[in-house]
Amino acid sequence: MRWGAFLCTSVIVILIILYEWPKMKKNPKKDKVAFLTLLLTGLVLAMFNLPQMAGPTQWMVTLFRPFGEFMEK
Amino acid sequence: MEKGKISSLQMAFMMYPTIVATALLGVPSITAKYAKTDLWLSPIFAALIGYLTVYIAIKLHKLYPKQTVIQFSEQIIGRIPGKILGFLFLFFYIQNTGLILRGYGEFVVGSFLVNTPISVIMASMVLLCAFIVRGGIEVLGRAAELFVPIFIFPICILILLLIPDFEYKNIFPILGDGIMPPIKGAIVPGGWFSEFFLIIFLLPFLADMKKGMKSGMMSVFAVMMTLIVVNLLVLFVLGSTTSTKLYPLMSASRYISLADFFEHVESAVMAVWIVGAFVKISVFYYATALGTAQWLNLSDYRPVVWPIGILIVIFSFWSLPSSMDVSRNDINVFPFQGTLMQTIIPLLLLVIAIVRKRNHKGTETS
Repeated sequence: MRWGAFLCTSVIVILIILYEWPKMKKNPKKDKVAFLTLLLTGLVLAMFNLPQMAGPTQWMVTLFRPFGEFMEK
Repeated sequence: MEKGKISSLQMAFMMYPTIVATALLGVPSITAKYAKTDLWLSPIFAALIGYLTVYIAIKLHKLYPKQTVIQFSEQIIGRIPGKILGFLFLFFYIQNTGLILRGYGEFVVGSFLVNTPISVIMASMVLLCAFIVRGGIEVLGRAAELFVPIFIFPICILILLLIPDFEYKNIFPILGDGIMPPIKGAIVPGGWFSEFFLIIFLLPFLADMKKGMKSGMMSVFAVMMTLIVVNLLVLFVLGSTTSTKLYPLMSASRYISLADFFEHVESAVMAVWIVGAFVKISVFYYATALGTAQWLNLSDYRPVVWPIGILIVIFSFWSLPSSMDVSRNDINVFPFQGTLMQTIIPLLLLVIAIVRKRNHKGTETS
């Protein structure tokens, strides 16, 4: 848990909602749901200690290990 | 969804810095590690991937005009597999935009703004890119048209100013260990050339489609020439020490000293390079935002631009503790992941699409 990063992200997310929401009045409900879901995903991910956490980039390294070993030679 | 139109020249101008911006900086030393003094031959082999990718993208576009890869993959391989493939594409582009952004941040922090937190540098770049992506493809095209000459011109000046420091004999021996080292050195730039698949997101908005193939191929050729010239320049100035430098072009530009007046031009090189990185990140960001909106069947891509910006910054940190991991990813993972996602999978899509069209026609006539 890194509070500094999380608080900064929260402030940015609130600013984005304040900026974007009035412009989205006419858009269908689906757009609004997608907008809020993606923002929430970002906010939840910002709570973790990301650089040390295993993630997609790590999985790709594992997936492409044979090629990586070829390049290390 | 996107009502703007761009010309094929603008597309070429957008694609050029998309490949060259980051390839100029770190790739010559990676190539030099494998190809030694033959590093200037590698871009020629790598460009073959670029030509192939542009050809595949144009052929796919001709079969499904007005659609991007996210939309037509559903038609080629069915609804559910198409959605899964679309997700893989979006995932690939978000992850790689994050990696590019991190590379940009590491370069600026490592070379110039040593005390600035990297998150501030990356967030300000994403903010700028988000504004241009929200502006739409026309704004992006015009920005590229404006910035690319600013990006190319100083590189030419740099070459001219470095001519007194050239050691032409560094080029020998040519092909001393046979043809294999330059081919192995071409693997990493090949990953960069596969990024030309991004034109699939731009082709549907081309005002003059007939010139699309020509300007795509021209763009690949221009990138190839730039990489050859930069690799030769780096080789002539730094010689066999090229592979030990993290940013060889920056190291070479430090050699410039003209009449005790023209010195420390590396800060100008950085300023110019940031312009290129800005266009590069914007094109990737645009493709991701447009793709996401099409994948979710939204009415407009603009609402998802800001949330994707946050995701890009998150992906630029995720499981990358240090700059070492970023450069290792560039060598060990990206060339293969990029070629797989952007050249081999589109090639399979094209083959399936052609076979299906042919079968369809066969049943109609019989």
